[in-house]
Amino acid sequence: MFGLSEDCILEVPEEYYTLKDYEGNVPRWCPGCGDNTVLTVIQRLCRDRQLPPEKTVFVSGIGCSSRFPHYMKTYGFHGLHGRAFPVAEGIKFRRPDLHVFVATGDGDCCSIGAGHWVHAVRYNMDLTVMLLDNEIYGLTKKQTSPTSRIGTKSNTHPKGSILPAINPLTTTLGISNVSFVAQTADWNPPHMYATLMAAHEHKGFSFVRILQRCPHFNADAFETLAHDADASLLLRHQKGIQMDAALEKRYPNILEHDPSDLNKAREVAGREDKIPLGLLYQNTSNACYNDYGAHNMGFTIEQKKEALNRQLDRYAV
Amino acid sequence: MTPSEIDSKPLLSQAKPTLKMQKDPPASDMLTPESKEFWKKAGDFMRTGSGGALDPSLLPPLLSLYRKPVHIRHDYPLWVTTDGNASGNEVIQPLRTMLERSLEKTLAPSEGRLLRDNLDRLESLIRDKVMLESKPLEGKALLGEALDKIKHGWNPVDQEQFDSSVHVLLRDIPGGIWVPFCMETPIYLMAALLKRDTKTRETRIQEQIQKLRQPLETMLWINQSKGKEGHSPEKIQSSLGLGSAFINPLALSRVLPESANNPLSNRRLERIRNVLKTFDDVPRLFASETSLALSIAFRHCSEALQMFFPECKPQFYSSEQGFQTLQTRFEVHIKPWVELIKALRIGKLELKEQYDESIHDDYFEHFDWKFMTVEELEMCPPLVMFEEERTIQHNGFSDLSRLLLSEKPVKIVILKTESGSSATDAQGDMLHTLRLELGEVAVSHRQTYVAQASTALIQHCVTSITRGLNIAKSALLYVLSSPSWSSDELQPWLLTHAAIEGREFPLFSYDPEKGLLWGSRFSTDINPSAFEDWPEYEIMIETDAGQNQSRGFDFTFADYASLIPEFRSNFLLVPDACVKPEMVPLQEFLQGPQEQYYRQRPFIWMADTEGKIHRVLVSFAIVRTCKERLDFWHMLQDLGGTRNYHAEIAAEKARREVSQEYEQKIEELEQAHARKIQQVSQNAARQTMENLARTLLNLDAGESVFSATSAPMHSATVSPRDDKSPTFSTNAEPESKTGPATSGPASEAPWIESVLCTSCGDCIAVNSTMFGYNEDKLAMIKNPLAGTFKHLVSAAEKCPAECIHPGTPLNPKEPGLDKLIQRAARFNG
Repeated sequence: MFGLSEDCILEVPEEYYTLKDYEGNVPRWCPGCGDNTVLTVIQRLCRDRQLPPEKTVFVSGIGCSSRFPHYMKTYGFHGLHGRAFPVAEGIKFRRPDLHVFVATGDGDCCSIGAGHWVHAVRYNMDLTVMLLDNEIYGLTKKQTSPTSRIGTKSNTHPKGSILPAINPLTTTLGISNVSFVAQTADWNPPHMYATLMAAHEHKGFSFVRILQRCPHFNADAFETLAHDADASLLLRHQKGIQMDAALEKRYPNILEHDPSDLNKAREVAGREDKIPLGLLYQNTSNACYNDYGAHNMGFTIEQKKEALNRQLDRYAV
Repeated sequence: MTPSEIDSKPLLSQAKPTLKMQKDPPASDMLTPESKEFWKKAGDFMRTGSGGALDPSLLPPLLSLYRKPVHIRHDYPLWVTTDGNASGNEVIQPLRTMLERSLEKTLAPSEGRLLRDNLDRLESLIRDKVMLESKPLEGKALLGEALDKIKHGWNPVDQEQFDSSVHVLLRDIPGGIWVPFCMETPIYLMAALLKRDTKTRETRIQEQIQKLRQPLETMLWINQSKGKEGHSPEKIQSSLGLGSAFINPLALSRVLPESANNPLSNRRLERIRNVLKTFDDVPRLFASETSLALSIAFRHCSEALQMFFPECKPQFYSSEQGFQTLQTRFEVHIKPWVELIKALRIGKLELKEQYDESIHDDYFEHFDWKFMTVEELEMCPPLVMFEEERTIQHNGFSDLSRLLLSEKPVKIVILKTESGSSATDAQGDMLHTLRLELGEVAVSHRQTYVAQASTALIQHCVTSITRGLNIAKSALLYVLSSPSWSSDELQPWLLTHAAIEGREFPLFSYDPEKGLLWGSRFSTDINPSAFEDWPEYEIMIETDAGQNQSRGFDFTFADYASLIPEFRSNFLLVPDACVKPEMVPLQEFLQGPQEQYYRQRPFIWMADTEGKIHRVLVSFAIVRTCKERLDFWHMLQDLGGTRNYHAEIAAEKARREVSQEYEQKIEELEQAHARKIQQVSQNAARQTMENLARTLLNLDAGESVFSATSAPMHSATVSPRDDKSPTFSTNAEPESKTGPATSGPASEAPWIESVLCTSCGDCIAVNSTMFGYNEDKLAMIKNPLAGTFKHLVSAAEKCPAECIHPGTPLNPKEPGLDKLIQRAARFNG
């Protein structure tokens, strides 16, 4: 009929962004630091999704990983220690049209920012959250972090840490209104790409813990895990992270895990024998707090002025 | 030509559901004063066809979804090659197909990411530019310009990467032009196809010549050697060369006897020489070939045609001379080709020593194109004439008919450009007179190939032109191109498409060589909904409850006519308040009885810019034309067999006969069955009685009552299960080797498993010329020779992803290799 079909309307965006369009300053992370991988993967994601740089914001707190916004040529906010979430929430609340990413670390999120973390999960705003977890304070040169495993020797605990580590996955899964929790690792970039892509596509607070190597201050933490696939447990499901079959074959331990099962997700997240990689939990029906924030989006400047004047007129003498 | 994407795509039913229907009329017959006033006016309007003034922004519902400036992907502009070297289906390609094919040919799937990502943009840039100019544009130049525009403002590194793919792409593309959807499109298509076919023809003729030339030249040489000239002292001297110092050529010449065989006669010699001379002229003949003759109305195309035929210009003639001069022009055109065919035939006869002067001299003296076989005619370039439709309407009709009856294999292309004004003469009102169907008239000349085609359906158009050009008969191609009027709302190719959908210009082809039976030669299959009266399409509309619902709409001639500016007075929008129950959709009105004309009011649906679908009344003039168009369409359906009256009657009759036959058979079978049941039950009763009697009589012998009856039960014995059931033996199949191929002997190239790269930059820090990033910022080996094996090994050791495999050293003289190979071993495993 008229030669008209579903794909005959050609929508050509005004601009095309290359990888270079997302590359900001030259990273100052140490050679071999896992943060480099995350940065490249994120830049590829932005390019493949053609996210307009002027519509994309990276928000961070303090820490090695929190230098992230400097290296992206998008909008960015290098905020206060532990306060990445409130800033990101503020942005998303008033500008739901922006793509907001949060780069935070184990200190920034799980220590000083833990209070905000709990509420950010509950608010379930549409944010893509990357917890770059190297299990150590690297920026301040090796102090114990809340995710450092028991016995980790550091400047604060020369004889080894004595408290059990926080598990960011079980913690997040324990908070009400949680909607997306996944885990990936810096030594598997294709898996990280697929995971972050799924997180970005999820509408809500998508929390991705990235196991990230710190070759300078915590070189041993992930040594076994990075080189021995047997120590990991790859989560697979048709609703989960889709991996290339050839790469999947490298993992001897694969678990069919339905990400809609919260109890099962908590159980898998808490496993200590094998480290799970993949999507633990996803729920797309949870309430998103930012849906209630943008009441005046689309108002013209005149309308906004008029509303302001109306308010101010109440105080006119 | 590959099947066009667009020809075969299904209907768009998931269009944006923004359309809403006008409310149905109230059940009561009570009319408001406003409504009364409207209907009074509407009565006059329907009779006279005046008083309506359709807003040009109202469109048939489906088309309203594709208003400008929506970018619609379609076949145009076409990529048309001009250098004649392209093979069959690459001469004419839709824009997107051309881009995708070129990419596929030149770049590996993993290469050219930036170019592939921007293919939509490239397509859109080229389309916009060509459509804006509405004339053919030089192919590579525009492509290069669009590519430059894409990379404008990019980072130098990206530009460099982009340029490297572009360079490969442009290098392999042949010369060509971008042809927009315009009135003259068929001319350019024809020029490209002529050029392609001329090349084929030349090859075929040269092949035949090659077979003849050598033996004929040998004949001449032998003749010369045997004759008196061959025995002359000079000839002998030249043949002997240095030997002439020992032999006296003069004396030898005297003693040599006369040849036993008579040399060729002078007439025969001359004939053969003439044949060879004609063969020599062939390349010049092809170079100066001018097959195109165009009406002077197309003089503006000469510049673009120059690109196809740089050495000779197409001929232009004034329309008054038209078809009359074509008769004589054809004789002039065919003459050198007749000579060539004659030469080929004489050459063959001479070689076989079968040329009989008493018969053949006279035959070849009067030889002309009528004596040629089909194969020979196909070898000659055809004479193609382009004419506008209106010339024929005015004065050329009888001349055209005479030309077709003369059976001269000329090709006539008639461009239909006016919107349905086939019957336009002095009074020129297509709504009040019957149409002259030129295609149908041409079919009645019986021995002419006729096709009604349109450039809006490019595949059918190209197929028709190709067939028309190559058939050894006359051909008339009646081609609907871009309309002479334009719309602010729709692309021109959509308007042309609407003419086909609305049965204004149905497509068909008549090929007199296709079969002995007439029906096999005529085809109307290409038309949309070829088995129906009008095409029906479904689109999503929004109901009052705010839900999406699919709804069907017919596309009638009236829908097409509503797009034509001069017919807008024949349409009247019905306001919401004036909708009456007496209004019926036009297609239903057309099927109803004549009496309804007094009561019912036909309307079509049309959507406004807001997406609301209104009822629009149509005048009786439009209704009449709809009927006329439908009648013509029914005739074509009948001829094409999609809805043949006789076939339907025959089918009905056959159906009746078959069902009668079956009913009779069923009845017979039922009777036979009943008889059999009766017989079986009687037999069973008798048998039972006999068994019972026998058993009772045998009771004394002490046998069991049941032994006799249970005996047959044992007949079925269960054979013991075969224990040799298949086992899952691991040795059942030879195991395939899963390990790596036998470990490499001498050398193994270094490689990086890029997909695992963490982009840390450590390898590049080791050697930035040896290592680099690909388009995804994943490491790769740029140049394995740009560094030492040591570089490879130390990069592999530094790599946190351990994805660098150094392989074996390329330079065996590198110092400290033994240690390096040891270090590399763990990364090569």
